[in-house]
Amino acid sequence: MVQLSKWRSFALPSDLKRFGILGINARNIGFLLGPDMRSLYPYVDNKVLTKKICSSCHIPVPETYAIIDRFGDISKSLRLLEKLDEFVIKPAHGAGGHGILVVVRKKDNKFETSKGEILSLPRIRYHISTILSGLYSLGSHPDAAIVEKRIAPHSVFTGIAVGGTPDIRLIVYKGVPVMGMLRLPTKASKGRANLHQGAVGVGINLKTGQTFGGVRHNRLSDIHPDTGANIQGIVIPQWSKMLTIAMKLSDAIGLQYIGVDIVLDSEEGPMALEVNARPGLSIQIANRAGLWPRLRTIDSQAECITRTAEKLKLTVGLVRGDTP
Amino acid sequence: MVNHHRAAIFAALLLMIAGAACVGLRVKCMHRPLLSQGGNVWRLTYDVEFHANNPGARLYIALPSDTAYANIVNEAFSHERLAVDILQNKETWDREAVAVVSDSSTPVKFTAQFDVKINTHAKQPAYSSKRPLGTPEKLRYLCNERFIQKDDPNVVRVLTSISDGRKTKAKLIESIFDYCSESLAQSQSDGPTDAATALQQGQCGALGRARAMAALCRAGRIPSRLVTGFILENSSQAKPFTWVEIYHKKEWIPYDPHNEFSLQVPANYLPIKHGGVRIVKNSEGSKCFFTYSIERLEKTPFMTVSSNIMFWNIFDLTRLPISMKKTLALILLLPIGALITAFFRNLIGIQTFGTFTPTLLALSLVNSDWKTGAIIFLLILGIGLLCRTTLNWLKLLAVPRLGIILTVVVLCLIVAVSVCEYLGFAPTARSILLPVVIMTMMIERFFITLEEDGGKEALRVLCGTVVVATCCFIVLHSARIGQVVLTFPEMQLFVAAAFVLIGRYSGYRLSELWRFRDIVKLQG
Repeated sequence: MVQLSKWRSFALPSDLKRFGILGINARNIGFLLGPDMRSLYPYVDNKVLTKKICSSCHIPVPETYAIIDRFGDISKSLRLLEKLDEFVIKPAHGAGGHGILVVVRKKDNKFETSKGEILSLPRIRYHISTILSGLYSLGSHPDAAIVEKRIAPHSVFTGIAVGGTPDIRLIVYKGVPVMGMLRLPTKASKGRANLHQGAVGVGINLKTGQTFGGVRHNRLSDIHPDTGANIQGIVIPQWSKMLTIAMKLSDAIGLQYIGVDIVLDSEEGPMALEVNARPGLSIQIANRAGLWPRLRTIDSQAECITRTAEKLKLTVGLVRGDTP
Repeated sequence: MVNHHRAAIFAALLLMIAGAACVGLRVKCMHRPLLSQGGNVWRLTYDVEFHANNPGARLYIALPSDTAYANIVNEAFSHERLAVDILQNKETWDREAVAVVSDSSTPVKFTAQFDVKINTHAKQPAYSSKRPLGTPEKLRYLCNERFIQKDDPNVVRVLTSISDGRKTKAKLIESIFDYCSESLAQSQSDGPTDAATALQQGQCGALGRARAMAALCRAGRIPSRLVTGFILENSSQAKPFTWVEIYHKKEWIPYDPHNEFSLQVPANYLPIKHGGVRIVKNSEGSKCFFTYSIERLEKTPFMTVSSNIMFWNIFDLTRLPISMKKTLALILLLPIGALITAFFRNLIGIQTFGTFTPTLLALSLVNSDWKTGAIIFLLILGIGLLCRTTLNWLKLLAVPRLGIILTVVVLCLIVAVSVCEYLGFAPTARSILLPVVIMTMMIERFFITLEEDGGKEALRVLCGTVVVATCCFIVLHSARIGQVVLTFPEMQLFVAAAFVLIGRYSGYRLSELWRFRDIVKLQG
């Protein structure tokens, strides 16, 4: 059997089941389609609202410079941007990292982006207006643009994040973080931390905050494809603070199953970046573990647990003994 | 969660039981009146061979339409290298196929097949014979014609002899009918076929008799016209038959002086052409040969003849006129296309551009020439993408940009239609009318995927769309399924049940067995 499975280039449903892999259908039916979920979706789909919730719960977020939701406001905002050296423009309803423009420095009144493009002010204006007209929002609805502080990645990520800011994705179920992954941008992902665009995901030991495993394009991977650097064994600074942010945010939003994206700023520490209502499933490959058993454990225990310390204990308890 | 699951399975079961019950009930109801009512279905076939003398030569073929007794349940045409358009006469409601030859080097064939359901109970037809006639039409049905010579001395002489000077119109019609059916002897051969000669010689065939009657009526200032059609009876060499219609008291009333039917003709008289005798006409200089055959069909559940009294005939869509049925069948196929898409997306895990794109693409090709359609689809996609790439330089806002792509798609399609017509590829323009809005959105989404996620991803989704569209096409293209959904619209209940079941499927998608393949390596 072992021999056979080595040659096989696909998994059998029984393999996936044994590993406790959660499939898309099971995720959608079992965890996303809760009774009162729809009404809460705006809080995660709209980054302006997410930011508001974070501020009201004292969860740190990147500083907002401006929120533009009318075409008439663009000129006013551009005057503000001229004074800034680095900033990020993103759509409030964006998904998959689309429509995000990162300006890393300014040279003779031109803006240099993280992709190396040099943009003039009219180009920035155009980008904002495409965001407002709904190019990047789900269903092409009119959208708002957020201008915020650019995150300076922590030094621990030097050499393993190419062209963008890495972030930490935590899946939180019923208020308890159940799985975590460090997402590293690559050349292929054009600096974005989205796995389906080619970013690398690295599993994180929830107990220690140390990375292990890894996934790229759904294949097991232990190194960064661009630099060849080892992506295992990195201890993520301020790990417990990240877990606390995820738990607080999950409680504030009220959805039972979410993905929380946290960035680590070199000066200000962990900050909540966004919340995803339909977090991807490749995190299971990165962690070499399925989500099913962990979700079931929470289902059997979490109802009565409300205190953060107990939740943390539960989180730590999810980690298998053999995890590096 | 378990509750939802059970409820869904229960709902699906209920839908299926309801569907089975409806189908069963209908099949049962269908068969009974079928036997008791004696309604029947006939297949009329035209075989026309056309030797054109020059490109552009035309063929005019009169087609049967629905009448009070006849209902065209099915029709099929086959015509290679002929551009065919079907026109309907606004006054007589007659349908006529106009075929144009693009290449006159070899003879071309045109075949048409009609399944005609005959109801012995008359119903209100789409075309009412009780429409008032305007003065120009009235004059047309009173005028002198080449074979209906109302001003010929022979016609005038006979009319004077039978009219007695001051008869009422009704009496006059009666006398004319009596004279034509009784006083004119049956000639040995078919001739003479024109009114004047027939009345002069006092003998004629069926056509001459009909023309004589029409001429006498016109001479007596009663509008009249010839009706040509078929008497439905098994025959491999059927001959068109002509009878007369007389406009009296604002109504066209049929008379057959040959077989002596007045005021009404039997239900198996299938009228095809009003005001003429030739079913197939060809343009001057060309030659054409034609045969007609009529055959009575065995009954099948898909070709039902049901009573007109029972209210559930509302659900019997096969009784509707053929042109309406085609549209309805197309609409009824939409959910099945959506079901196929749901199957591919949720069970197999193939991504597509848009939920309904594959279905609509497939449907647009179902009733047309799919090969040409597919080539044009790819061409428009290519040109559209090229334009979209160019447009990217202009940095336009979303809606105007979409508008431009829509314009490009529309223009490409128009040019494609015109080119096809010029090269004599596609039979008609409508055969390649792709859904332009869907094409526009597809180009836009393809481009955005290309920009954001790379060419590999964009191609993957495009392939997914094409694969799903192809599967939709294969299923929807089969002639059988169109007929099944029309005969049994209740089938949609099964489709709904399948949607419920797919909607609750929480197992792995086939694509996930591939996606998570590396998991197998870990267990070693």
